[in-house]
Amino acid sequence: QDKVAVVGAGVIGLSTAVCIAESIPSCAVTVLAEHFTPDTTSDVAAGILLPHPFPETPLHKQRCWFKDTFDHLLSICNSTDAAEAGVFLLSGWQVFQETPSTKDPYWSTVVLGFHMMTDAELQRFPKYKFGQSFTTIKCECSKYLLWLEKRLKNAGGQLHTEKITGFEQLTSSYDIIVNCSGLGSRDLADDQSLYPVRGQILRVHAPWLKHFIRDGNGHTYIFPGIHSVTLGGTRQKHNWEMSVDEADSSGIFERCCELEPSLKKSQVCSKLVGLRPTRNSLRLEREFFVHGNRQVPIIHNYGHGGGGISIHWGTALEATQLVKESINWRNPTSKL
Amino acid sequence: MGAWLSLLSFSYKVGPWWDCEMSFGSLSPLRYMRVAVIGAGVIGLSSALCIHDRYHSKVTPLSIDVYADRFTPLTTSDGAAGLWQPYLYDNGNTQETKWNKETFDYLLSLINSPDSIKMGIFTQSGYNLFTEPMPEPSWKDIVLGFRHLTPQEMKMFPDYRCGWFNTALMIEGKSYLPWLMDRLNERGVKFHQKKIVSFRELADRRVDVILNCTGVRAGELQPDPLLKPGRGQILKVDAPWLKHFIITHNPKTGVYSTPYIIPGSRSVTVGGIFQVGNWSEDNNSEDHRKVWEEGCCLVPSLKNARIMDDWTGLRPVRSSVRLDNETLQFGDKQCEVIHNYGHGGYGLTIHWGCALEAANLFGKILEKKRLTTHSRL
Repeated sequence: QDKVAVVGAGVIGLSTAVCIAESIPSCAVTVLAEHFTPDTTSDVAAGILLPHPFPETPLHKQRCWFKDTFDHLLSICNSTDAAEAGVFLLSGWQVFQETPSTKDPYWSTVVLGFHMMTDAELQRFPKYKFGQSFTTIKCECSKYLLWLEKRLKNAGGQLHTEKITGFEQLTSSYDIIVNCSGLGSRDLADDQSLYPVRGQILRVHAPWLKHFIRDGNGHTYIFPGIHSVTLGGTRQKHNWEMSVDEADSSGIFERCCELEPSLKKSQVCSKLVGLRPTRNSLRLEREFFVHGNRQVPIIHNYGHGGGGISIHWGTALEATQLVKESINWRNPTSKL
Repeated sequence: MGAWLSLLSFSYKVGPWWDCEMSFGSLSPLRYMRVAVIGAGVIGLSSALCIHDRYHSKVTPLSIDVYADRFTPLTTSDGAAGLWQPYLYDNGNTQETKWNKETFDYLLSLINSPDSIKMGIFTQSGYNLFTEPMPEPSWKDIVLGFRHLTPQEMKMFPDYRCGWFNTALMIEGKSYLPWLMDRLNERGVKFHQKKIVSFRELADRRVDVILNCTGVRAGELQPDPLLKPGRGQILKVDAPWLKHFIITHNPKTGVYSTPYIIPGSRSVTVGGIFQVGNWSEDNNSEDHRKVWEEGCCLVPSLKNARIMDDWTGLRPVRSSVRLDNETLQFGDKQCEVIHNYGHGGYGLTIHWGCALEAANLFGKILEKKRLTTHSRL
C-alpha cells in the first residue's frame, strides 16, 4: 500500500484526497490540516462556479479544469445527494457598466444557457449597458466539505488535525505528499510568489432572492445560497487582515443594495473574511523532496486564488494523475 | 393575520365623518355611491383598490364595503404558489393576454420599490418542459429573456424532449393579500366577515354597485354552467436549495395535471393535480402520493426534503374570464353588478389587468348615471 499524505483540508485538499482514494485503491490516504470546515478559506467563499483568470496558465487548461468541475457538480445537482452536498443550480446575470472586450468568454459554452441579456432584462440595471445571462452552479463548502469528508472515510481515508510546518515531518511516514495548503504554501513550500487577496463578505437573510447578480468588475456580487445570501466583496491584494472591517461592510451593503434594492429589507446574519491564495499561475506539478536518504515526490496543487471551487475537481483529477505517475515511478516493475 | 380576524368581528370603520347611512335624496346620486365587493381573494381586493384610487375624487363619498366568508390566509389566492404564468395559449382571447401583460408590467414596475417584499413580489426564472415540440406561448414576449432550452440543459430532464427558459415574477398571495387589505383599510374601505347569499341582500341595503368577485362559488349567487371547480392539491416542502420553477406539460391530460415545482420565499410548492368538477377541499392521500412521487422523479434532490404541509384549493375554472356588468332589478331597487370571476389557475397572473377593466366598467356605470341624472332634470 502506498501511503499518501494530503496537506490541507479546504476544497482542494479534500477533493484531491477523495479523487486519489476513490481511483487508486492501492493508496492509503490521510488528510493532515490545521483547519477543517467550517474554519477553512473555502468555507467563506460563496462557491459560485465562475472562473477566476490565471494570467500565466494556458487558457485551454483553465477551460478543461472548469469543465471537469462543472460537469462533476452538475451530476450531483441532479441527484439525491444534492441537498447534503450543498450543490445546486443558480441562474442570474453578470452586468457591465462598460462593454467588455470579450463578450463571449471561454467558459460561456460550459455554463448552461449562456446568452446576452436583452434590453428588457437590462432595464432593471439602469447603470449597466451590457450583460450576460446564464445558469451556473453554487457549491456551498460548509456542506460540501463535510460531504467530501464522509466520502473520503467511505473510501478508507483518514483525517488528522495537525499543522505541518515542513515536509520533512512527513517523509518518514509517507510515500507521496500532496500539497494542497493554499496560502500556507508561502511558508511550507517557500513560495514567495503566492500572496493573499483579501475578501470580505456579508451573509444576509433574503429568501426571496433567487438569482445571482455580479458586477463584471468583480467588486460587487450577490450570490443566494441555501440559507443565506452572500454579499460581496473586496479584492485587497497583499492584505493579511483577518478581522472584519466595518467600512468594507457598509461599502459592500450599499453597492449591493444599489444593484438589488430589495436587499435594503434584509437582515445581516454574519460578516466574514477570507484570504484568496493568489498566484499568477496555478502550481500543479510534481517536485522531489529530499530528506536524508529519502526522495519523496510532492505533488503541489495550490494557488487557486478566487477560483478554487470553480476548478477544484479538474485540478484534483490532474493531481491524481500525477500521483498515479509517481506510484509507477516508484514501482517500475508493476508495469511489466 | 390575527389583527385582521379581530377587526372583522364587527364592522370596522375608519373614514370621513359623512361615511354613514344617509337618505338617498339629500345628495345628488353621483355625489354618493355605495359599492359592495363580494369576495376577498386577489380579484376582490385588487378590484376594490383600483376602483377606489380612480374614482374616490370623482365620487364623493365613495363608500366601499368588502364582504367575504373567507379572508387571507384562507382564500384560494393564499394557497396558490404565486408564479406569474398564464396557460400556454390564449386561443384567440387576446383580451386576456392583454390583461396578463398589464399585470406583469405592473408587478415588474414595482420590483425595485420599497414595498416589493411586503407585497410578495420577486423575480424567479425557470423551465417549462415538453415531451414533444410545442408552439411558442402567447406570453413569450411578456416575460423576460424567453428562450428555448439547449441540448445540454435538456440532459437534466431525461423524460422530456424540449422546453423553454424564462425569467418571470412571483406574487405570493400570503403577502400580497394582507398588503392589499392594509392599503384598502388606509382608504377607509370596510371589511365584513359575512357570506352574501343573494344580490338582493345587498340591493336591500341600497348598494349601488356590486363587484362580484366570488371565484369558484359564483354559481351560488347566479347559476353559471361555464364555471367549474378545478381542484388542485399541493405539497409545501422545505427545499431551500431549489431556485427555479419547473413546470411540465402534457397536452393530452391538460394544464397542471403533470408535475410542477415552484420555489417560494418560505417553501417550495410541489403540485400536479387539476381535477375539473371535484368540489372536495380535503387533502387526498392518493393525490399526495402522485404529487410526491412524480415531483421526486422530476427533481431527485427532493427525496431528502421535508414535507411541511398539504393544501387543497379549487381553481375557478371557466372557458374565459367573466368580466362584464349587468343591471339587476329588485322591485323598485336597481343595482349594477360587475362580474369579475372565473380566472382558473391564473388569477394572480391576470388580476391587475382585470382590476383595471373592472374600473373601466365602473366608469361606464358612472357615465350612465350622469346621463340618467341629466334626463331627470
